[in-house]
Amino acid sequence: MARILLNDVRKSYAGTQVIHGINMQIADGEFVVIVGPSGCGKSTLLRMVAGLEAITSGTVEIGDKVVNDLEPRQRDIAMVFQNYALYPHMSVRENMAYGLKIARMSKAEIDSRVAKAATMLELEPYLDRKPRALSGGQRQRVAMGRALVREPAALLLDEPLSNLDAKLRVQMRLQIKEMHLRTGQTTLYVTHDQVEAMTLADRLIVMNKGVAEQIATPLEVYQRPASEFVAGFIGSPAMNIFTVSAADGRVTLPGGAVLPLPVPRGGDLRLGLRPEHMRMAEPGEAAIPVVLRSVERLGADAFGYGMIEGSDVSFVLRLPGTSTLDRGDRVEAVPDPAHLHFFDPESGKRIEG
Amino acid sequence: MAESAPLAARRSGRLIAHLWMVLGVIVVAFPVYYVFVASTHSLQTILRPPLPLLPGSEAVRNYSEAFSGGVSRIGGVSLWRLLANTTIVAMGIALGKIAISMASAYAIVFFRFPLRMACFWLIFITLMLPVEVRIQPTYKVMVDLGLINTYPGLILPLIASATATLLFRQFFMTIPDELLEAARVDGAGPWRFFKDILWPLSLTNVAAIFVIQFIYGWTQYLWPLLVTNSNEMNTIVIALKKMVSFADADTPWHLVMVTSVLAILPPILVVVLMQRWFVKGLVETEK
Repeated sequence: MARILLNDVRKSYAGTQVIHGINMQIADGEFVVIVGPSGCGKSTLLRMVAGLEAITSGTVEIGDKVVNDLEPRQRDIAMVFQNYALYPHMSVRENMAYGLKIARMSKAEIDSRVAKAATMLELEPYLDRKPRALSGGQRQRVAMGRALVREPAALLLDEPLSNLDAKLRVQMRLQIKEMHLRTGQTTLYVTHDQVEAMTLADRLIVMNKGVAEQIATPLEVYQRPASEFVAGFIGSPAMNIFTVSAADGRVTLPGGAVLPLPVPRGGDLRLGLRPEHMRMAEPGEAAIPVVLRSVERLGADAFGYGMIEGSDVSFVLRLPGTSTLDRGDRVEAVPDPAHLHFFDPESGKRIEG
Repeated sequence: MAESAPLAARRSGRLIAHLWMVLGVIVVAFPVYYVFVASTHSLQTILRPPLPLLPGSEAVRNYSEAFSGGVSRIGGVSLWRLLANTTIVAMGIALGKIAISMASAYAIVFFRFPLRMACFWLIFITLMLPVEVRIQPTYKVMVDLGLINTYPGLILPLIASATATLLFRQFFMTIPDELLEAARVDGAGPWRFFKDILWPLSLTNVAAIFVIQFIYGWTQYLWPLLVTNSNEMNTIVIALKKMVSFADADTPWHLVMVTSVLAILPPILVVVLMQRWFVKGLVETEK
């Protein structure tokens, strides 16, 4: 086990930079999730840590050792691939033991480690099966097992759950979390799924176009997104973000309504409001007028999707599960002043109020 | 009635298809059968047309004569020696081709080196050059190396194979990148990756290419004819040709036919045995 240090890590392909200088320190035993939309460079970053991609500039340190020029096997890492990449001609046991065999570990030690991992992952009945005779979830567990038996300094997972069905994904997510608590393994986990990111991570790296938009705990990312991109990416349904013009403690909404809000400065601003941080207006209270176009009822909650009246800006708000509002209704929503997000319209960065 | 009509049509269609295929089999198999029939008759019967359509009673005598010196009296070398020579040459060519083409395909697919694509195209272009085109320089090289009348002389010029290289290249390219990466993370170097992962996954391909190339090697004619002048080094195909180079009446046709049958048998054996084996392999990977 070890800490990982990323120091201004950059990657270029044929002159085009795809990773623009990532700095981060991952503590020993920390679970860090790299999250972002596809093409944001999150897998590339992970593969640079793994040693599968060359590092164009900057340094990667694993356990106080700069590993830039080391082969993957010399970096003391283990990796779980999205499609599992199990060796199809080897049994589950052989798959898990292969790396240990290459490391010339004693037969007894290999057997005990494989047995331990098999117990933890409930794979004992399948040890002598070939991967093709396993279900997707079982294959995924074998891939996890193959990584865990190595007891590496760092465990790297590249979208390990994205090939599973929804139910299994939730189950495996819990299992991964539990396993991390038990082994205390330094873990770097790549996903595009914000639920996985939020639930698994000690800390998140939210990436966009090769830039780390924010590195923080899941709660901080949710409560104080560092940029408009992060604000829109984390949270479901996504945050409402639209342009308002601010002056003297008031904002003018698209469509012309005026709302008193504590604004950080005047001029054009991007205002972010989460659907869940909204309440219905009292009679006569200044509010955001929304015309609903559809209502999604999820049981406990309902989400109303509509437009801000008099504009073409779409707006989502959470309604009580028992709400009888429906398509065509007009509602007046008041934002919770404790959960306002303002972003600079030029840079997209958060403006502290 | 309405339902049975198309069924009947289908049945008669199938009957025609079967008849057609049976006809095809007869056309292909009849000469082979006739060789076998001829190998069981005495020379007198063969020389007096028409040749009977059914096997005769001389089988044991013909075959034992062929093995116990009949063939060496004509060709100057025993049938055993001919079979051994041909087996060595065919095995050498088949295994050599597999070794060389796998190695070059491995290099081209899994390694990045300068002029990689140039190497690939060079190999590809040699597909267009049959052995006959380069036969004179090859012969000269073999003479200079003193390899005339040797097994290496028979085998080496024939073991480079663009076809097999391409086949292995195509197969290697279907191996997912992640498998290679998983092996790298597991600590496997290039040699271990080849030995532990690529080779076991290639076995069915190896079997298929072995069958094709063994038969290719077994039936070689032009090159063995050029590079051997001692009877001791003849392959069975060359010996056959030498046996019939007398005047028709002098040719011991019954022994020629026995030798022909024995020339056909080993490739058939290889096909039958290997086929069972690689079909099993195919079924396993498919499942």
